[in-house]
Amino acid sequence: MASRTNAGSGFTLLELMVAMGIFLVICAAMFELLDMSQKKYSAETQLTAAYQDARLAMDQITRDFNVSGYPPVGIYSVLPTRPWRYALGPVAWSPNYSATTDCQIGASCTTPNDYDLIIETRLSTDPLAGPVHVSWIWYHLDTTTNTLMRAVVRKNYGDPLDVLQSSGEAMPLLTHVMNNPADPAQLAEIKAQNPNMYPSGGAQPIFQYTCDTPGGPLPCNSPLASGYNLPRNIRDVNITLIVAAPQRDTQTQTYKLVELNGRGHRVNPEL
Amino acid sequence: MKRGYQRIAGRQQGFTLVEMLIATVVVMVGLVAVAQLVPTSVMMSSNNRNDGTAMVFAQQQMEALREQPLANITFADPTGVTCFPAFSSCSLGDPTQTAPVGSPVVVNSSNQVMIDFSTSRVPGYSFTYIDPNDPSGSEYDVRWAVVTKTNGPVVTGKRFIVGVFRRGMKTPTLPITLDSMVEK
Repeated sequence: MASRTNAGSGFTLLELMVAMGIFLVICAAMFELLDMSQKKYSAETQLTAAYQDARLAMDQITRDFNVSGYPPVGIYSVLPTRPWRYALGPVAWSPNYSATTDCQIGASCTTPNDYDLIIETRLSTDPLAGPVHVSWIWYHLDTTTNTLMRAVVRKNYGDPLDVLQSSGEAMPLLTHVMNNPADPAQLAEIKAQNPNMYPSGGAQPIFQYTCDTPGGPLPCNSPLASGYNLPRNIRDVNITLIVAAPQRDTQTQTYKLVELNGRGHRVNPEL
Repeated sequence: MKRGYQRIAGRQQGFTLVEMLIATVVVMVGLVAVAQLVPTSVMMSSNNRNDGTAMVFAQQQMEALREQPLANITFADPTGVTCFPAFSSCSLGDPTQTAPVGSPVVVNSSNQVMIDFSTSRVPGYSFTYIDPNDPSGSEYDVRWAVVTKTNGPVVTGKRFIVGVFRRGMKTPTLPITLDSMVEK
């Protein structure tokens, strides 16, 4: 002890070890905090990106739907021989696509349905369409890859769905769409974590339709709209997009989802 | 040894225990005051977020109401976003009455019409919307009132007053009210 009070004496090895030990413990805690905040940052960035992608896709769908059904078939007193001169309705359907026959939404329609929509209109901004050519814009969820696909082709003879499927024009518009994953384990997992996003208990439809009826607009698959649940009567399309961040959250190991709701409303009246 | 110690002690006086205690108390009082700002700011930020969300829902609701044909007195939403539950029927006013129909309204001190959230809810003109993006499932009380303008049997215009109020807040906040009109 006597030597410690002398000027110039340093710390003992023990003191140094204890001090370094404390210092290292504090450092480790700090790095743990840094690691946590970096993981959080990465997860939030991915979620924001998912939101942004979903918004862009939503914007595209609603813009396409808002100008649907132009030029309406009703402006012609004699039906033109070439079908790309007119739109039979806001959306094209399959099967039985013709000026005189229909399919029933929620029953006999293959499209339009919960995950499949073909918008029929003349796109002034689409160089493919030309000044007089009506186009088909196809939105379709690929449930194995959870990707929302979009295709634009010129309207032609034949069944719209056959034409679009064989065209090879479908391009991914939005990835990680979780409305209806084909993998049942994945669907069960995200449903359990986000029960509010799947209110029906099953998969959540992307497209839900409102049909014009004599009693006013009604959901096309409501029993009250029976007989009017035809693609020509579609007034609005209600869109629900559930999008996941590309990677699982590194802290909780769960999928992080965002839900976006939107509505496409046809501006061109039926004729 | 002892002499050396006394010499050092005499030169370096240091603080007394009482001085240290007082200084500590003063510093602690300052720190506690600053620390109280943290939960306050967290709460305010959460309130702001809820207010923003309520505003988005109110705009969404207003848009859905304005988009309906003027002659209609009911509407339904297959997604349950603007009329909950899905497929149920929501009301768009009553053409036989000139007074506001639906959820009760009050006029506040700055002469603005607001939805009165202190009354009980009116079926057909209200529903509870659960924010799907909030893991805790926060609930928003959505209500509206409609004033119908008519010319004989024809509906010529409608005024919609939409109110959204976040439920279960720790501190009282004001509900959002939007007021808009659509005419032929």
